[in-house]
Amino acid sequence: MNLPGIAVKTTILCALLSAHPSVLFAISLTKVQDLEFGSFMGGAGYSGSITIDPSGERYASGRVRPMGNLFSPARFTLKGYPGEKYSITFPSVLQMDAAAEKVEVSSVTCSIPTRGVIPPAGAIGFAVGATLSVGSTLGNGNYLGNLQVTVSEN
Amino acid sequence: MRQTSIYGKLLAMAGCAALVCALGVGTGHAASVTAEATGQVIKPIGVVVGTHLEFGRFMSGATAGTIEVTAAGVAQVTGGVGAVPGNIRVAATFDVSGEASTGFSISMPNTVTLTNTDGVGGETMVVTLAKDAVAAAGTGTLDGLGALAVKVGGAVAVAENQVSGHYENTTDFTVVVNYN
Repeated sequence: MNLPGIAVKTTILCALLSAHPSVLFAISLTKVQDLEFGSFMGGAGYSGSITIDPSGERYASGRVRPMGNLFSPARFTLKGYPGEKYSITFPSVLQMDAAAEKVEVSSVTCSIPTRGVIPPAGAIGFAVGATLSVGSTLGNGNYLGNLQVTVSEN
Repeated sequence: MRQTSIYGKLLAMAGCAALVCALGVGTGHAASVTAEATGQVIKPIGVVVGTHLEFGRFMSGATAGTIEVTAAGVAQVTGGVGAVPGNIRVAATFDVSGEASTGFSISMPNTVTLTNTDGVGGETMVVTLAKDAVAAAGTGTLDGLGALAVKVGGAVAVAENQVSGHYENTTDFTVVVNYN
């Protein structure tokens, strides 16, 4: 006697999944790599900037001189239902600190369009780079900040 | 039995509605993660002259010779050269500063030329530099305070009856430092 009821439940659930497939494919974002500017010579009369390009290249301007070869853009993996629209947001400016010293990070850029469609594979990787401004009076030290990235379904 | 069936349908619909609400259908899903942003600022490296290489006064003779100041600052003469007492003879000191405990490279010439600046002048003497261990190796490491003194002496080749005068170099004694 319960069979008709079970049939109805199944029908309703299938109908819902058909209309909203993202029920089982909620968009997600995973960090793969932190944003690392690496070591560079600056401050104490040496001003300029250092940029990490989303492609992975590092550039310096002014009197700032990059050192070593450990640097990387931040890398993320976005997953969701294929064909679903997504948007990526991140701050345009962020701050990094070392004790009482502060530096500004700006020109945050992404390796893929910040609005798009999730590809058939259901996942897409992307990188985020930025530019760190080095003032002539900046003190030496290890600077640390946070880069929050958000993905949304449109 | 019919009442039970309707109740089951309503329960199923309510359950699905709850599932829909829980998963946010009809509202945009979003997810956030935070990456660290890191960078290490290294203090610029620099070098200044602490003391200049000074051979003091000396006399040339009927035969050629040398006057030398070692990197450690010890002076001595050879051949026909005679040292005039009471003169200051010191090795050059180059004070390197930068990031503590960091390696650097240093380069400088092996010889410099001194030119007579008195009278008509123009006479020259060649100095073969006597480098300390860091200068000779071309690399060093700054100490825990980010400093290191590099010392350089030299030996002046004095010709027989070298014309008297004040001899000095111009721009050929340049020291360059860089982080490794």
